[in-house]
Amino acid sequence: MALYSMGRRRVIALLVLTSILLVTLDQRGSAIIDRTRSVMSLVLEPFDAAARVISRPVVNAWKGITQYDELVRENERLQEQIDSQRGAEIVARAAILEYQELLTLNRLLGSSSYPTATAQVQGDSPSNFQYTVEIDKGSVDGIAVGMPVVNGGGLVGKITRVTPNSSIVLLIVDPDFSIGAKVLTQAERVTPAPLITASPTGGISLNPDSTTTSSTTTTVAVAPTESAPASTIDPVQGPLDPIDTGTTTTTIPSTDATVATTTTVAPVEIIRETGTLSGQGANLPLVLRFVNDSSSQGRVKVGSTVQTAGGTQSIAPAGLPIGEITAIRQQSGSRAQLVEVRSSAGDLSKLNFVRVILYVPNTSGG
Amino acid sequence: MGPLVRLFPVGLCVIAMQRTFLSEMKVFGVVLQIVLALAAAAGAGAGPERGAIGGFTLGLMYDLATGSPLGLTALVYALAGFVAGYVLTLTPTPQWWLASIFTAIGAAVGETAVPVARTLIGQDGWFTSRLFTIVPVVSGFALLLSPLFVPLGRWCMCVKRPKWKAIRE
Repeated sequence: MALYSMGRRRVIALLVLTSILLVTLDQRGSAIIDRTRSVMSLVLEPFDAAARVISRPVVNAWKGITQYDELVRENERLQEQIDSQRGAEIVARAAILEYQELLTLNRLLGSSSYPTATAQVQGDSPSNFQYTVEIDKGSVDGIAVGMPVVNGGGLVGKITRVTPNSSIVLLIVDPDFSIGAKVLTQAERVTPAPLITASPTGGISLNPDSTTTSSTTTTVAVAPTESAPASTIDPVQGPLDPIDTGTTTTTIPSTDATVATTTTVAPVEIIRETGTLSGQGANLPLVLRFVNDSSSQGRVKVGSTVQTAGGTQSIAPAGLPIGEITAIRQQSGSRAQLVEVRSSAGDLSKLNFVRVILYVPNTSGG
Repeated sequence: MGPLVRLFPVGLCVIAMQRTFLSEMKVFGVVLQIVLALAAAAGAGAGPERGAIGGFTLGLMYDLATGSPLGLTALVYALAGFVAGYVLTLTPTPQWWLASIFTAIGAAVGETAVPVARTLIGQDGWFTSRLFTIVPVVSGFALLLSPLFVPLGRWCMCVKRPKWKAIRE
C-alpha cells in the first residue's frame, strides 16, 4: 500500500485546507464558531460532571502519593512566611486605609472600588501548551471576556472565554498573555548639601548648618555618613552628592574641622516606568518590556514594584499588584533592558479561589 | 457517517476525562494527552486516511471544548493519526506491539507539532527545553493505552481487522 496515493493526497489536502480556513475564521472572530463552542460546552457539561465525580477519589489518591512531601515542605515554608509577614501586614493595612481615604478625598477610583465575583477553580489546562484554568462562574454572574482575575497576591490572569456557568482564565504566565504595567521605584536621594553663595566681600558664605574652616576659607560640605573619615569639598558644584566623590578638590580630616553635620533625606521620589508585561511559561519569570527603551536605563531597580498601568485600552484598572522585579538584564545588541518580574500571585498551578474584577475599560475616552 | 456516529460519543467521554482528572494528574509536570492517544490509535488501527479523518474530528471537538484556536489541534491530531496509520502500509495485520509503537510515534509527532502549529499562527514562546519532557511522557502514555485504544479506534472508524483465510483448492 503506497503512503501517498491520489485519494490520500486529496484527503490530506482537504483536511489541511479546512484547518487553515477554520483557524482563520476563528482568529478573525466568528459568531457561528462562538455559538458552536457554547453548544459544545453545554453538551460536555454532564460528561464533565460525571468524570469529576467518578475520578475524584482517584485524583485525591494520586495527589496524596505524588504531592505529600511537597505539601509538608510547603506548609512549613508558608507557616514561616506567615509569621514574618504578620508585622508587615499591620503596617500595610494602615497604609491601605490611608490610601483609600486619600482616594475618597480626591474622588478617585482605586482597584478595590470595582465589584468582584469570587470563583472556584474547577480545572487546569488540558493542554501542555496553554496555561489556563477553568472557573465556576460565567456570564450569568456578570463575567465577560477580558476581565482581570486576581487572588490574594495579585493579578492572576484574564478571562478569555465565557459560557453561562463557567469561564476560562488565561494565566499571566502564558506566553500569549500581555498587559500594560508600570514600575514604581523609590529613588532615595540624599539632599543637596548646603548651598554655597558668593558674599559681597568676595568670599564664600554658606548657610549656618554648613561647615567652615578659617585657615583656608574653604567651604566644606560634609558627607552625611557620620563615620566618614574625610569630607569632600567642591565649591563649584552646587548640590553635593555625597556618594559622588569624583570631583574632590580638598580633603580635610574631619578631626581638624569644626564640623556641624547636617543630613537631610529628600522626600521619596517615585519613578514610574510603563511597559508591557508578558509571560514565558510555568516556573519562569514574567518579562517586562518598556515602551521607551532609554527611559528605563538605570532607573528601574531590582525589588521595584510592578502594577497594572490601567488606562482606557487596558483590561485591568490601574494599581493591581503584579509582582516585583527580580533581575534586570542587558540584551546583547540592544539598548533595551530585559526586566524579569516575579509574580506576587504565588504558585499559579495551585490556584483554588480567585476573584474576577467586573471591570470594563472605559474605551470611550470620557 | 458511521465513523462520526461512533467517534462523537467516544470523543465526548475522552475529552471530559482530559478536561477533568487528566489535567490534574500530571506526570513530571506534564498533562497526559488521552485525546491525542486515541487519535493516534485510530490511525494505527484504521490506516492513514481514516486515522487522519478520525484525528481531525477528535481535534475539532477538542478545540471546541477547550477554547484553543479552532482547527489547530484538529490539524495536529490529523497528522498524528496519519503518521500512526503508516503501520498499515507495512503490514495489513500488524501485531499489537507494532501498532503500539506506531501509536506512540504518532502521539510524539502530534505533540511536537502543537508548538509548531502555534508558532505558525503567531503564538510563539513554546519552543523550550520542556518539550524534551513533554513529548516522551505523552508518547509513553499513548504507548500504555494503545492495547486498549487501537481496537477502540478501529471500532470508532468502523474498520474490521482483516482475517487470513485459507485458499481451498
